[in-house]
Amino acid sequence: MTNHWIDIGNSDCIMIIGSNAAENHPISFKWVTKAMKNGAKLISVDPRFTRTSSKADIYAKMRSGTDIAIIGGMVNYVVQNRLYNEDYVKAYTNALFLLKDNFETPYDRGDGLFSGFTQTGGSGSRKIGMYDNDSWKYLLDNDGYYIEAERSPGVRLTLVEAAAGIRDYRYPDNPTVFEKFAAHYSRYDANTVCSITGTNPDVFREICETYCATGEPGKAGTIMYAMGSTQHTYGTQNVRSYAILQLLLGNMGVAGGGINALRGESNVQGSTDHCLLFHILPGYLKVPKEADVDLATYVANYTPAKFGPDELNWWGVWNGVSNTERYIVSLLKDYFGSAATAANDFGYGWLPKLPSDQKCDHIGIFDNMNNGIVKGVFCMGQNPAVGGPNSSFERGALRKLDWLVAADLWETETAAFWQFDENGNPLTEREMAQIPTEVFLLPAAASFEKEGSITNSGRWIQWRYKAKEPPGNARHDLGIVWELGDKIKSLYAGTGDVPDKLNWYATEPTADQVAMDVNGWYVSGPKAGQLVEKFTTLAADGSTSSANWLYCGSFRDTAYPDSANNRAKDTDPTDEPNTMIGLYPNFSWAWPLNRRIIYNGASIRPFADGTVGNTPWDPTHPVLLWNGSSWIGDVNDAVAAPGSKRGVFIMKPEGHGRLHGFGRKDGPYPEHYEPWECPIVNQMSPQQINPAIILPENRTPGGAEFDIIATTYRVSEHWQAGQMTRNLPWLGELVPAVLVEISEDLATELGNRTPIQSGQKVKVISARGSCIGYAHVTNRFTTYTIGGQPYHHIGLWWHWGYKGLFTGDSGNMLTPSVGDANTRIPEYKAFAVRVETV
Amino acid sequence: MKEKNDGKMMLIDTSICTGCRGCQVACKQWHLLPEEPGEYLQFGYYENPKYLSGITFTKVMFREVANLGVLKYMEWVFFKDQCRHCVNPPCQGVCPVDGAIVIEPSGAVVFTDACEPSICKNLPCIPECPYFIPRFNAEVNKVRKCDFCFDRFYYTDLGPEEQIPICAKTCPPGAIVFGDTDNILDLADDRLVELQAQYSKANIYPGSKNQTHVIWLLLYEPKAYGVAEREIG
Repeated sequence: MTNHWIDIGNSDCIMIIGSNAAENHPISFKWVTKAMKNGAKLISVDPRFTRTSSKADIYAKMRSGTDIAIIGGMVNYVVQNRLYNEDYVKAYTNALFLLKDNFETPYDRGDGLFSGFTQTGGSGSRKIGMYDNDSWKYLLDNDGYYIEAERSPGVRLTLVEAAAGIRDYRYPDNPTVFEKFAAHYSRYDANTVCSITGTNPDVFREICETYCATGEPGKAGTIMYAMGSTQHTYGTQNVRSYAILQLLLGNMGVAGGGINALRGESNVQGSTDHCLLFHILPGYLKVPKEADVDLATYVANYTPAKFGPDELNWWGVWNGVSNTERYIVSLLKDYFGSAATAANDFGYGWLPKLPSDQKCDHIGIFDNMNNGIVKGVFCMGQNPAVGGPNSSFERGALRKLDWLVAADLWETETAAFWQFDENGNPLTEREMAQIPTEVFLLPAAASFEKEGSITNSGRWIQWRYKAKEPPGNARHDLGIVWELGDKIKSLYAGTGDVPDKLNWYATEPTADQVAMDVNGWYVSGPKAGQLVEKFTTLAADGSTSSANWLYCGSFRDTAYPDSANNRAKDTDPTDEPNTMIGLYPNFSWAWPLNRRIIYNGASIRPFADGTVGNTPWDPTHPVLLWNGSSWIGDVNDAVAAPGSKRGVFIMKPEGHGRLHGFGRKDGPYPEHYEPWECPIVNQMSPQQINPAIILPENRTPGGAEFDIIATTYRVSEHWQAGQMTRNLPWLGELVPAVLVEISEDLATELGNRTPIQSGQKVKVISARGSCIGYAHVTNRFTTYTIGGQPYHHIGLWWHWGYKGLFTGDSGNMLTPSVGDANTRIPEYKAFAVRVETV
Repeated sequence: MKEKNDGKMMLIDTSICTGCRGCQVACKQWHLLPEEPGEYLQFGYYENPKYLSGITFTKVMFREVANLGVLKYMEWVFFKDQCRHCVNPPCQGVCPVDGAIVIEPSGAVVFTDACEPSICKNLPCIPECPYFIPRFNAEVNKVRKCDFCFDRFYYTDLGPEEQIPICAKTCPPGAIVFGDTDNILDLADDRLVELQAQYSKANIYPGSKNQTHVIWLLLYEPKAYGVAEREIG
């Protein structure tokens, strides 16, 4: 979240898309309800009428996988009707930046592709390839700085002029961002959009009018999203669509605004911060690639040059040293301690390097398991036999392992894979004996049986205390991992190999000790032995350590390291007195630097010349206030004094929000493609699928017989892969079995003379497998009209498996192993099936 | 007959309820009631168990209201069913056993362990209830129902904010509000005015609102929620 849970209550309009917040983030509705009691409108955009939709003022149905089309239509509506916050867009985004003259969009080309594409595979409408993004980059002046378009000397273009193709008087050959942007989005007219998404045109107009009214200065709209947005082959671009809409409407950085990812577990934000994912190190440092041969190369490759003389460019050089270098060196000092010295690149060479043909994401790991390359797996707090895509395949891949260690509260489907076939049918003793994998099950402690921090979606780090001892031999994760490290280190003792270098705890650490190491230390110099106060004091010379620069500052009284000074333990319920917008700065601690709303410089109305102003857009919900000498209110996002030309999006080398980006693999603007497996032909262009994805190994999408669109989702009553809820009788009572939600039209089609009824069993079949569940006939799914043709859309739950008190088929037996072009998150949310009665 | 509804009241604002059913689980947890077996959800909705029972004192009913126009073509309404805790409970009036049904200071109508089916023979309290609430629990051979968590008022280690029924404490969006009668009635009246601006049929259920300790704010007529419409005679 750029903002945080409580801040939702400050919003004037809430759009929930790709999320079923009422069901899957129930407490969020405390704040949605608060906003609605103050007059906010709630819009629910979803393929199915959900419990969230039941509370909404407007429900817009949208075929799964068409977020880019529907948001693109809203962006076009904003541009056509000039509903953007013009002063905000001109001051805080790159709308008026000049582009190179060879940059082309699908509007120019007509083939659904951007300039720079090289085809490497696929054919026809399913081309696959890679982009060279050189033509997407800004036109830079001789100093390497961006150029803002002027109509005449000193007079910037208006957005209307830019959209109409009027250009800078000095550069007649170079378009502005807003010219290319407006042309690109002009293709997303209401008729085309509704024909793609299946949305009623009247409803579409209503959501445009209602949501885009937040473009008025002083109004705030927020977007709440979750896995319905991200789990697509273009999930990253779905989210970019939201960011673009929010930038246009001036909704970033303000109270009640932002784009707010509702994380699927209480500590997903924390685990991502601390490098759960394969492509980032703690604090969102890049994982070194093979080409980053030494520390100097790494620092050079990931220290961006700034694109403007006044910009802060936070990952770049600051006070003469690269921040990227400060953070990676401090991380290496944490990893390797005294073994990390300037002479040995602080141990940079000991870090694993990501190969260019990486197969380190979830899909790749299971392919490598299946191919016999990955021989052993540690599986902690994850249950891929239920939660993984194409789960029957993943269950089969587990059988190729030499060993599997599973640490969990119960014996999960993954831990018990050897007792069942890929479809969940029990194996005989003889069949089990043929599976070579040695399986270890480590009993783990539950959340209330261990101590530590969790970081919620709003980046608030909160301390959770142990309520009781874990049962039997169960242990908390920290203990399991510490002992494992200890054993590995002893096996490597004296070898000089990497584990021997690792800075490891001599005895099992407390969670507070780890929290201090995450915050970081002065390891030499006058403050040696003290905690670092903030990340601006981290050094690149090895004199500081920090396991995550974003968490620097999470302790107070740093000269006296003490677990009582851990700010995650703060529980003072007093609001920040100057703003009174629910920041509660002394209740828990938020990264970075206890900032509750990031990019909060954008909450200030710029002066007419585009420089930093001194009053908030919305004086009734100020995030920052200028008291004549400094900013008060929220912890300011390195906002310069009024009158400065420094941009407010300080993490970007240009300091401006990107309507036009060049960091993604699949295009500078989101462009609508269809899911990898979809019975519907792309109406937007001749390119059917995202051309920048990696095609799955040896797998093809289902054929014409799979003509029903399907999606998967969760319910309030169950949790993820179900281990913690399908083993609880009370929750099993609420939802005892897997349901397949279908429309009345489909029920009629499936029935023999009379429609099938709720409670009848049906079999859902995809090209990968089949899943049996109870039909749930409901008006909440209705027939979609796409391109004039009727299509059925169904949805099913995936919490089920073959272990526990309540069992059933996982919806993931149907989902495909194909990932997003940028993140490789699997496309769980849109695929094709057929349905039969059982 | 009591003239006045004093004590405590509960307001269940269905316009805020998200149907998460946290209340249903919390009730079973506080009362340590077992689960009811079932294979599928009931009535074609996210509902289970099918009915209130001797081991299920509250449940959320889900109903779909169709054809409501273009912008929101349907409504999915949630009704947390439970004892209304009548000010003058008919069940008590027909119970022949002393102390089997008592009224707590909070207004809670509590079926105690003095309930003795061998004395009353035909359980007259069950048909007498206009809301079909009390149910027979064969395991303990008693009639059972929601007790307003009256025992929570006697736990001195619970602070005043905790001395409320467990369902009200649990409700994530704050749809279940518990408090003094006057406050709750004022709150309900104010909220009704707000809701009627948008929902012409919004109403307070049961209609004679000062005759029960539990009231609901409904957006549509009670039958849309599938609840009994009989008033207390």
